[in-house]
Amino acid sequence: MEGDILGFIGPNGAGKTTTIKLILGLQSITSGKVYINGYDIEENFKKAIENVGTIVESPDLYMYMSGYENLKLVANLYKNVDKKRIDEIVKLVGLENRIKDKVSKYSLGMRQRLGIAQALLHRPKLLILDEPTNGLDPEGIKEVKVLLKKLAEQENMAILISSHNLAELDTFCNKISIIKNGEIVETNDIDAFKKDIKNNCYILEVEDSSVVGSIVDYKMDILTETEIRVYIEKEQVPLLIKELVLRNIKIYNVSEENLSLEDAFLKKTGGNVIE
Amino acid sequence: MSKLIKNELVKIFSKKSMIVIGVIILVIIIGFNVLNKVSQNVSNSYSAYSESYIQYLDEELSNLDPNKPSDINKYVETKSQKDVATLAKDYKETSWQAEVIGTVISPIIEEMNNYEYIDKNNEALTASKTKYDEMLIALKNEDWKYFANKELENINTQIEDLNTLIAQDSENEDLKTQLKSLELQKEVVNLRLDKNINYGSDNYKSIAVQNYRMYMGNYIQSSQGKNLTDEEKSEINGYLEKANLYKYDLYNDTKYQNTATANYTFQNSIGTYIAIIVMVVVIVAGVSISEEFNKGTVKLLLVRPYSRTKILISKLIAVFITMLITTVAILLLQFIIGGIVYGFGTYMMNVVQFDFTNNSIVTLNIFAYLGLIFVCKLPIFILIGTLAFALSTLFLNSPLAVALPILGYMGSDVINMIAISYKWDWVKYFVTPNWDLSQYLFGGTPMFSGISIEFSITICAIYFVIMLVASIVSFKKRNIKNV
Repeated sequence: MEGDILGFIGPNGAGKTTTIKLILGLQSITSGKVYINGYDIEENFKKAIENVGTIVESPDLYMYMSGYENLKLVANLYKNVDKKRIDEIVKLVGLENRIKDKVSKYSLGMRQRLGIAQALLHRPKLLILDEPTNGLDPEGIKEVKVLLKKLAEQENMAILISSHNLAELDTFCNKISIIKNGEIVETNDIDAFKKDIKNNCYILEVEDSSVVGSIVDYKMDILTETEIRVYIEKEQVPLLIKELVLRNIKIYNVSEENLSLEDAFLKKTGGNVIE
Repeated sequence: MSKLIKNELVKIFSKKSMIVIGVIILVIIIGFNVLNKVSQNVSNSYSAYSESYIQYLDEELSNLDPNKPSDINKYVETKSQKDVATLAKDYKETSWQAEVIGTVISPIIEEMNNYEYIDKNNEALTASKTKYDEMLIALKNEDWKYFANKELENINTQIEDLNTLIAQDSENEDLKTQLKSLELQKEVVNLRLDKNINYGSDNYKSIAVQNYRMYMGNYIQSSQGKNLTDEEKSEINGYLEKANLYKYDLYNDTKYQNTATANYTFQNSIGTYIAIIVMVVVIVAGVSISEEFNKGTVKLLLVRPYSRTKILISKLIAVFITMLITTVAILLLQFIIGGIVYGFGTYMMNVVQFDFTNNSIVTLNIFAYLGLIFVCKLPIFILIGTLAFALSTLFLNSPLAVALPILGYMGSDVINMIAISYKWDWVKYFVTPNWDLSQYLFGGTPMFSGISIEFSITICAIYFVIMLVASIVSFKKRNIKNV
């Protein structure tokens, strides 16, 4: 696990947060065991939790205190965190200019950064982040991704990240786990997963969609008067275009149909029922 | 664990509400001292009889005709009022002259007016007039002892009369009580003459004499009945205590009951300050756990390498430390402000308390006294704080956890009163009759019969443990729900 970034995805209500809470001992476990670093979270809570840094749900901080005071509170509870370490982390998450301000004046993005800072403070071996990019601007999301990747590589940290946004995870996770109705459906390397959900759909924008069906012999759905969905392999796309051009059919646009998350899950899980 | 406690204290004291509470406390303390001081001065410079009052009476008189039988009684009454007002208007209301005019001279004036207008009895009028003139001279000569001697004579004759009556009817308890009252009056007049304490209320000793007479009189009157209830007994004990405290001052030439001292203000303000401390403790304890849950910050706390029991107990200890800090801060502020308003020198005076075990006076240093009182009140703070804390932990509802204990505290006296008057003996197993240990101080008898200091401490400890265990169990079992 060390050095890995595991993406934990599932639709709303699938049980991502609940699973994370079970791992952290925030909810009691009815069956099964959770081991962190070889320690059972229920029987040896202190040892197990010592090496974990986390943000659950949202970075809930003490709003009436400054960012620095918040970090100080966390630092007090660990032996290996001194003032230098706090400054180091503050710099790492890029909050050095606003760290003395009250958290109530922070934007959601800044709170998210402070949340990551408090999770990293005691040099955990396992970082568990529940939707850490919520509320961040695109630049912020990118920064967080770079930061997490760096942490995984340099500090040999294992990172568990939950999200309902597939696109967000696929760029930097190396493993992915899918949860549905509280059960893990699949855990796999990201590449294998991607290949698996590929669905080979292309959308063609043409002058008159009804004509196309009579010309070529592929499996296709007519969507509108001008749009048509064709089910073909990637290698066959140039052939199709060539064929259509030869028949004098005007093609305005050919694009690969992006799988929405819901589609991916429908494909993978056959739908999630929120109970 | 000390780190956890320290963190909790940081959280408590970095809240803005603590600054607000601090300012409110400061305002209350200053207000209390200044008002107490101002109220002393107001009563010293006030005359009940003004020129406008006399003018008003004059107008009334001009509308009445002393020769008409329907008007005559009203005329005499108004004329007497006017005569008294005219005589008294030059004297301050607190002066001895004002008191003597009110109690001794005004009946004579009424008598004279009666003789003059209603009875038309010239002989009696002349006799009254002689008495009246004599009194006027004494008044002018500042001779209050003249009136004291007159009162003494009067009392002596009454005592003689009463003694003959008792000799005839030795079983009559009413007569004996009357005799005791008269003997008290005699003692008071003798005290005035011996210690040179004038009538009125313009100095401490005069007030002390009045109060001694009032409380002792009440004691004699109320202790007459048999089969007294517990409530009546505690009332009577209150009279006895007050009477003896003033008596001590009078016979020892001390001024311990003087209200215009920092010491007295200190003692007098303790009740208010205890209420403030209770409020602060309840507010801090009531939000302690629930706020962390409601704002989601509890997750931050629970993923640290500390057991939940330790986290909970640290929070409770932080509440108690806050209570101690508040108490010390309030006492220190009162010490400084009281010292500024009344002079720090008055702290050198002792506090006197009446000890019921052997009906004697105990004197002790103000700081020893305060320490004793606050140690005795500690169970209130601890139990009410733990109650708020337990409610906060069990229901995760801050308003409930703050409101309920405060209501309980305010209602505790009422609960006790109702239980006493209906003789609900089982209420003694409640916490409210037991948590104020100061009821046992100085040989005091508790409100409830059949409870002792050991019993009270045991009851308080049992309630404390129950609330603590309930909190710990609930906190350990609680799942952090998804928001």
